[in-house]
Amino acid sequence: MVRIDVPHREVTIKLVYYGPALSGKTTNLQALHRHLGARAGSDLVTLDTENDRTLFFDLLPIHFQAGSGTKISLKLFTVPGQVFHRATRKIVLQGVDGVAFVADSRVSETRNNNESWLDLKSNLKENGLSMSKVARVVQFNKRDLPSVRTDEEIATIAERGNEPVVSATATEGVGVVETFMALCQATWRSLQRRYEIEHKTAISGRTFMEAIAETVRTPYVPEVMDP
Amino acid sequence: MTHSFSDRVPTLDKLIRGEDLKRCFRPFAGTGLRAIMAFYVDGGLFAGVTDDGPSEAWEHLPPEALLAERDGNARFFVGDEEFQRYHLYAGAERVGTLIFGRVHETETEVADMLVEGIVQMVGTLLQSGFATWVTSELHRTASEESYRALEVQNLELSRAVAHLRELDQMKSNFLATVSHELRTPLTSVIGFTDMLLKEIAGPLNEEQRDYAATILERGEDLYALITQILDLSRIEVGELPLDIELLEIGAVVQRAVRSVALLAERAQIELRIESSPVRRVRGDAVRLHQVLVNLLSNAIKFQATPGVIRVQVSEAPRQRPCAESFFGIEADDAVRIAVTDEGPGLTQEQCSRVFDAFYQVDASSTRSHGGAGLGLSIVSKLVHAHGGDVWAESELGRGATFSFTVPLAEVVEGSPSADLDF
Repeated sequence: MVRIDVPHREVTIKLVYYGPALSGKTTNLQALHRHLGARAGSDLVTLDTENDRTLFFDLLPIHFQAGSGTKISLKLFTVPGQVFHRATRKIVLQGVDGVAFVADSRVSETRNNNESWLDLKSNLKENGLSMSKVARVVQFNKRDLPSVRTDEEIATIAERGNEPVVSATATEGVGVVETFMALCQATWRSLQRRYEIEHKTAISGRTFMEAIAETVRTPYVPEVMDP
Repeated sequence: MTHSFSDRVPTLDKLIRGEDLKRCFRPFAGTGLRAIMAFYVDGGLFAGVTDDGPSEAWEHLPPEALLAERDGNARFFVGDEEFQRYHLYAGAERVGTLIFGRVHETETEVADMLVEGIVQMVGTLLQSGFATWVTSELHRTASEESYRALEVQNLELSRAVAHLRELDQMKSNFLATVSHELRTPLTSVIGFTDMLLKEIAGPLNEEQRDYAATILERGEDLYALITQILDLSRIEVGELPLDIELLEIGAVVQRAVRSVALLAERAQIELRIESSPVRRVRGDAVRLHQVLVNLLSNAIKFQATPGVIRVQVSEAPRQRPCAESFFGIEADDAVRIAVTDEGPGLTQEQCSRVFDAFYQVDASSTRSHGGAGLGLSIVSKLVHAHGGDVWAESELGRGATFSFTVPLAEVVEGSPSADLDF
């Protein structure tokens, strides 16, 4: 859960990259870490294991300042996607503020995406949260592979839900920053709805997003991101 | 016996990173100290910063330092250069030596204070590193012990599993043999009873005919049961290969429906096939026929009469439906055949267990409907051997639908790894 330390002017937000096994969650964080370079302010902590599969989680802390000097810390986690690591996923999800769901675009992975989405719902519920309380962004990753869902199909799926949907090829860094920004945007809005964070921190959504945009050196276009 | 972790002494590199120590030393270099160097207990260099002077080339503690150590001197000279040495401790153990190169011109008092400060700082760093090391060693030792205990348990379990597998194999072999041996004399019983009924051996009176008919009927029931046991045991020992060919599943369905038509008619049940155009599958026509006849006979058994049993044939995903469809529907890579009755239905738990061998929904159903609880287990094994899936959907009081899938021929051909043999 977001931590707002008014005396020290610090805000800490927890974001989790969720999704089925091998959908590219760690790759997203690695690409984002590469893109940020020294600006992340810390290293990517990867507790990975044999075969390069995530066993516990990865953590990418990002620190920056927004408004008149409030320190913002974003803690980006990944979860292990393999089915049998359900307990770890549940623990990592505790107190989450925003979830980026990294789906595999291949048609053959539809089942795994659906099952992981179901798993996310049930883990949130077991943590006393729900889909409606947590900000969500869906990324359709691996757009460069053959036999993937078409852009039209993705548009249909996007219309079905309330989540912003981003297409990506994380191995090439495509769509990674966009997903991150969409996640920050959705999370800030959700925190405003739930905790009136703008009032408590005196940081407007626009100021927050501009600080993010500066950190990731990507232009922030309010009319597109903030309709 | 392994030493307890408390007997082990950590080396310097386990307590602090050389790079970090070097970073701590660097600001003090040139402030009256020409060299600040940490050495392992065995004398090898661990980390250090050094100006010019003899210490620049040191990879090990110099002999002069060792002599000073032996004589109990804190200071020693190498050429004209004066050096000072301190022991480094972690917990109660000596883990290394700290050497300072002194610059003569510097005020002695200031240099002494710097040396004292650095010694204190390094000592504190090493003690906190030691606390971390002890904690992690403690966890590691505990994990190793648990791991060893688990290994022992695993070994016992794998022995037990191997033994059970062997017993299971023996059971299946025994069943296969016994079933076969049982069937042979039973064939004679059925055959001769049939001859009696056809009055080949002379006319029968009504009572004799009645008795013979009962013998024939019960004999055929027993024959069917033994055949099921034989099938199951053959599947379990891998002796029932599939005869895979390209199939029009519609023809298999129609033949199966014809096979049970008489049974349905007697029970005043209508069998209705609802088929949409489907592509061809790869499968064993005889075994798929067996699957269908089994599902249909079950449906007829439980169907309220008079009534309708529907058989639906359509293309569908190979796996049973998922409760979530946010990311779209799975591609149709199989043909699905669903048999729906209007019987009493099943609970969720019954739906998930109904394919287990010898499982009966309840004991009373065995009495009223017969059967040994093997049919659906055979169905499940045959369907999975084809690479398909089988499941039941139902609600109490609302009938039941038993569905199975058989992968499309083009899907099977597209994946060379698909294993269709038992």
